[in-house]
Amino acid sequence: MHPRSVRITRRSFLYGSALTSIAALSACSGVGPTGDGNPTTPPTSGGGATGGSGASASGSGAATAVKVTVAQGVDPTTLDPMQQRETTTENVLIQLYDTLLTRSTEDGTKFDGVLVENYKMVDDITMSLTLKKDVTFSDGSAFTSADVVYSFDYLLGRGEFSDPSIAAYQFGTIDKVVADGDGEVTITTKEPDPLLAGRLTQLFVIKDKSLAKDPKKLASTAIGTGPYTLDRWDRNSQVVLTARKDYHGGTPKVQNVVFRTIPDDASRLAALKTGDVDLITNVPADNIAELKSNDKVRVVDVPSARIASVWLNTLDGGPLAKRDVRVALNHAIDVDSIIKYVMSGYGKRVATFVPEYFEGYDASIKPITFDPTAARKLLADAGYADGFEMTLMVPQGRYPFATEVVQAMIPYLKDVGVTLKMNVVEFGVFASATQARKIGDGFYGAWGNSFFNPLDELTVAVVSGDRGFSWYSNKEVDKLTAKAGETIDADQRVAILQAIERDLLDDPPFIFLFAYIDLYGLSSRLDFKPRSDELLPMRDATVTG
Amino acid sequence: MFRFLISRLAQAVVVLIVLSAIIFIISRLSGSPVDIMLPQGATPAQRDALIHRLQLDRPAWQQYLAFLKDAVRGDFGVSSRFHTDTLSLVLSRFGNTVLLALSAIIIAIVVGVPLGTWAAIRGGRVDSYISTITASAQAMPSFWLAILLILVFGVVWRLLPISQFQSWSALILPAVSLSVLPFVTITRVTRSSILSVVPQHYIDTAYAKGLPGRVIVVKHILRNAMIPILTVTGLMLGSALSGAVITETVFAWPGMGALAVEAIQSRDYSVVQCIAMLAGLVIIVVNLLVDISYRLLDPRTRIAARE
Repeated sequence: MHPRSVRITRRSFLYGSALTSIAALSACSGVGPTGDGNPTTPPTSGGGATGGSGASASGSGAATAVKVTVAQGVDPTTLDPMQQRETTTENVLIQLYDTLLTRSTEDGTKFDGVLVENYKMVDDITMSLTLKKDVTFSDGSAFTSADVVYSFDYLLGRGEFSDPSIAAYQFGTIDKVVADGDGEVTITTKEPDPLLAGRLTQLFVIKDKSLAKDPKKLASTAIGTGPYTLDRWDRNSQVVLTARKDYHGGTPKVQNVVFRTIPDDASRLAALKTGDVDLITNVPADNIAELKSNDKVRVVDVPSARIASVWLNTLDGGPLAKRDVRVALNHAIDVDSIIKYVMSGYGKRVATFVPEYFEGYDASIKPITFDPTAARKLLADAGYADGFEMTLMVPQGRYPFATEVVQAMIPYLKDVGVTLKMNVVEFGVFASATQARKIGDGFYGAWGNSFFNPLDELTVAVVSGDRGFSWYSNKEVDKLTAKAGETIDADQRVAILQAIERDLLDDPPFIFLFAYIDLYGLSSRLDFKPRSDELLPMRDATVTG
Repeated sequence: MFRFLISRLAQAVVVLIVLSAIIFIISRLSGSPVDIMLPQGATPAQRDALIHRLQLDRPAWQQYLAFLKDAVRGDFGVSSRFHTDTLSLVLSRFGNTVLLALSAIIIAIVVGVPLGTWAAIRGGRVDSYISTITASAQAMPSFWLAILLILVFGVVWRLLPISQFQSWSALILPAVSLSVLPFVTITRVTRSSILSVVPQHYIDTAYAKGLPGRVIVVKHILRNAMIPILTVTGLMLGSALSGAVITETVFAWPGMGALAVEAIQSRDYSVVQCIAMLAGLVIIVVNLLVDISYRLLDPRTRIAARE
């Protein structure tokens, strides 16, 4: 009798708790989607539709609409083109929005017009651009000069906007942007700026007055002139894009593009191998052999604009303040062997930080040779015959092979008497330490040069200054860099840049290392040429079979 | 029961406030989001402008009070990384985490309790087989098991989708992979808990009065062995619900754990705080449910509370 009543209580409790958890579950799936208006909760209502389209498109392939799936490790942080600065986010935005110019695929130092018919420098600080005609936004309205001015207003926090956007840091030199009729725009800079055209490849053009009612709207909707329109963004999961038939550059061959987020390297690889995705970025070098043996997959490597170096603190006295010591460190390390054995060959030796696809590359400038004897002699001359000890900060999880490369330097330096210690830190700690100017003896870093021009790295990381990456001071280099920065004539500028490079080899601020080589995994049906700027414009892609 | 609930709720509020203070302090100690958001080699002026925009130039106590005030109203601010409302971002991921965690715990219970019971009652060779299984399951690192599952079921046999959800079947691999640890724990606790009940006199009595074995196991042994099993299940559920970082990352399952890692790496204070508070709340609620279930299962706890 007694046990029975207890049993009923227990049973009703179990029913109760089961009901509660189901209720909780449905409540959560109810709350989730409201954010973006789409069901992000997996296999419930929205899942069926997703599954259906996925299966049919990958199954039937070329028969109807061609679908290409790209997997990246990180979800886009926003779809507001001005509030981001990550390549992974930019890769989605570049499908939706056009820039004024783009970097030429043949020659990274040249530019092609996207929304611009042609452009020219009127004088050292004035650029005049003629816009393309017959360009329309995805809502049907025509693209005019007012849209360009509006985009700059939003970017720089002018006109109706009070704060500059996150992307504004690349555009500090711009003084005025003026519309000249519907089809012309004049951009004036505060001082001569040889990198202006490069900057214009990074500005996504939004529609005039599109933010008048709701400034946050861009983060989830997109009205652009780009080759694709936004179908759906399931935050944390996928971005679904559809090609525009009326795209001004011609209808893209791939009708549907899906960007999926797969954070784990091994899972991304597995998804490529099963054919779930067609394109993955950042293939780990260890997996190349395995992928190459698979005939449904191919691996493409592209030298990147990210250049690794060891920054040396030359400003706080001690051995690193001495020129001879820094030359000796460059002599002591066999960078070619490190590339070959540590990085499986996926690195490109550079003399300083100017690979051949950058402006100012000079084939006659050779890297400092691997010469331990010379290194020992230089150290002895500088008064460090018995060597010294230095500690390098190495950020983790940001630059591939960072810790492995620095580890490989330890025995080389030991051989000439220098004891190298590693201080491996999480990237956030590294970023704070460089900003706070507390780096100790130096750090391993890799400069992402989005301008394909040494001026970028020179002005921020080499010339004297109070920025986090500037740990060197050389009056001659300061003077020449300033001069190159105001020289609009390309030939004259290149001559100055090459003179600077020679100076830097003579009195190095860094231990010069290599340019990274990016590895992409592509399904064999996808025809796409990865670019040195890490962008994935899918309008250039085609699918066979 | 009512007084018990009230006092537990009051405790919960205190715990949440203390938790919020700890999270606030720790997240600020770990550094500022500003340096991560800035480009390499930004000028000090750009840095100051960003600090001002994120309102990080106010004194810490002001920031904390503002955070508490807004949090009470369910407003956790705007994520500095994702530029969207924090609470709806976290909740959109929480649903996925709940789905994954409940599936995993259900698998663990459905497999673990019978297996543990069998091991304890049968003993001998069965017991040692099951011990071997649980020991090897426990020895497997979860990321390794996850990748192995992907390889076997996704790449080699192509039976199941390996990442993200195109259908219900996409839930199977992550749920199985996440269920391993709770399964091991539940199996072992069930086994040892039953072993401690079996020698009791009332079990001898039950056998003596001629009850069938099945009835004895289910109604007498298992029921009396239930309290420790519930306790660990609660603990396991609590931790699974607060986000399974590795499983979610490997299977690209957009849950709260994966979001937490991303938020911590980018020093996205508001998201970190929101997730920590939600995880705290989940654990408090699960513990409360476990405590309530004790009272329902075991009359002695009710009487003890009354005295």
